[in-house]
Amino acid sequence: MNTNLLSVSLAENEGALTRLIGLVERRGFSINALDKSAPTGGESRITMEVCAREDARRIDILARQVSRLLDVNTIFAPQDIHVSEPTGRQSCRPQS
Amino acid sequence: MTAQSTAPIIADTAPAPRSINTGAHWVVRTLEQIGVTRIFGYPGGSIMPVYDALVGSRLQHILVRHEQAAAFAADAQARLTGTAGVCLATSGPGATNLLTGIANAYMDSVPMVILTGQVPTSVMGTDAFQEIDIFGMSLPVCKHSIIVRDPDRIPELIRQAFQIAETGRPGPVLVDLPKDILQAEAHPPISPSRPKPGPSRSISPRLDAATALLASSKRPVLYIGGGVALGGAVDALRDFMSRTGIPAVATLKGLGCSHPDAQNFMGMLGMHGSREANMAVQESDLLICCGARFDDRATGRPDGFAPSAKIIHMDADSAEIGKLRTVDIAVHGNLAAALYAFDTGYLDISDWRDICLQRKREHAFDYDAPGNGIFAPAMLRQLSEAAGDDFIATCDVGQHQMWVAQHCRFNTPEAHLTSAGLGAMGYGLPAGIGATLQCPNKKVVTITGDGSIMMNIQELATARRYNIPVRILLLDNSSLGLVRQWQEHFFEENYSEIDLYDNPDFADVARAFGVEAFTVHSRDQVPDAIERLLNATGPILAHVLINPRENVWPLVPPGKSNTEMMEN
Repeated sequence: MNTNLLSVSLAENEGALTRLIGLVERRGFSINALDKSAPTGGESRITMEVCAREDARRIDILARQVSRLLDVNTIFAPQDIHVSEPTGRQSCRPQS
Repeated sequence: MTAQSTAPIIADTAPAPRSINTGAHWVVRTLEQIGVTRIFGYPGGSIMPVYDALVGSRLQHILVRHEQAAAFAADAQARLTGTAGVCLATSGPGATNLLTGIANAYMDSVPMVILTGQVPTSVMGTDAFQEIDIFGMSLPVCKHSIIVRDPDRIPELIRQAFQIAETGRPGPVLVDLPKDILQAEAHPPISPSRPKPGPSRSISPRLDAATALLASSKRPVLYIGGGVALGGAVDALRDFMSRTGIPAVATLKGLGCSHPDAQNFMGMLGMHGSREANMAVQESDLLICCGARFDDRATGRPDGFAPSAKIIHMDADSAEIGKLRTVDIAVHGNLAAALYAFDTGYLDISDWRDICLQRKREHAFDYDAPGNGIFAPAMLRQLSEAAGDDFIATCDVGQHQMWVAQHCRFNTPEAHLTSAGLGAMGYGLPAGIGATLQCPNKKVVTITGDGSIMMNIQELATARRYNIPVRILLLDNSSLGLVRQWQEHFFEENYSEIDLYDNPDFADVARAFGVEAFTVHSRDQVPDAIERLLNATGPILAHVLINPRENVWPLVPPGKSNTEMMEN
């Protein structure tokens, strides 16, 4: 099974870490390793090594599900993981 | 007598006046300021300060008889208004009883704010009486959850809960309120009035690639989901359908988005979809998915779903795009804007349309059934036609739910309130109560079965208490019909725990609650029954006896592709 790194900047809100870990597990990934920094400025950095329990589960979809959480301020995509947009993606967001 | 015994029983100092500035008062005041007019709930120990503050409030509190019903009723109200429904319960069992209703709102993206009492902060985490970690339990079924730990932040956090629930992809938000926070004096800073949801992200979609793909398509199909209604895109969708003539299919939640009489509307797809809808999808070379999520009940076996189609997926939630089906073109953002801006260019699909329309004619449902028994699909069709554009159906779950989806006519998505994603039996009656309170001039009909009604039958007392004219059509086949149908076809007729031969007489039960009721035995009684139901001015229940062997057709067997439909 492939492992991927998922790294996020998380607001230090009550339950934020539980919510994040619960989402990752619930969406079909196991957490092999987990690192949490001490909070600075109300935020901490979480880095997880995750492994899909089934081949069909994609890290880019997980990343977008994680990014929906209100406590997640930024999601980092280290070079060794690929948080891809769907093939041929076009956005109808205003282009800045 | 001793001097001591002559002391006055009442202290000579007047008791301090009760504060009107407690956290609980700010809960009520904030709801009023936000513009909430009705809440559904049930009192208990930890939430008592809020109930104390409710006395004299402008809020209408509807006392349900089980907390689950409070969540379902708030859900129905929210689906009709597009603003968050509000439900309220105490800690522990009150809160856990809400969970099924919260999960229902989560699965169907319904905006809801849930207020739960909690034990005082000093004993949280000590297994205090009626202490349950509802915050933790709510995380998988809520868009967001909050514990309030500072009484001064109550207005801010409740406003935030509404804002989260109602913006973006809607969903339920839980606010847990410890009792000491509710009882404490609060002096919150003055808050601005309810923040209006900003205009959703628009527009200037660049849809050139989608236009090019459509131009090269010979067999396009539009696949309509619940996101169309949530995104306020019904008019845009109808405009797109009439501009292009593209054959369209809908999910359970997508029903009512298309005009029901639109020539190019093929009906519902999926497990109990119409043959013309499923065949159109299976033969399509381009599927334009609009606010749908490739749910397994719609797709059947995923690798057999629209096997030769390219996919354009339009959705407000980027996490849905590519989740279950790789897409060729993703359009993330405001659906209405995208549909209006979708330049469809010149389409040459007349042959394809003819095939689809021919199939629609060939497979039109036959409402003639032998015998004198009541044929539920025909009765539902008649009910829907008699109620007309004022019809709102609130469904329970089972065979009747699928018959409603197949045979009733919905002119708006709000006319069809159903537990789609969760499939929660017990939704129908509380949803009927919520819908009737919200839309008293509409013809709200709860369509239920003899299994489902028993999941929340206590709400007859709520309907009676407030004289809510919810009209209940109970289709009684003395069994758990959909499970029986599956056991018949997929478990070699090994019937297990589906026979409800010992049901009570539901008309007698309703009358015991003070609800008008009557029983319908034969087909010739149906027109009068429908008229009586629709003209009722108080709660009423029609107990309709149907054939226990009746099944829902067509049916795509589990694990099969949508081309492998079983029919009667």
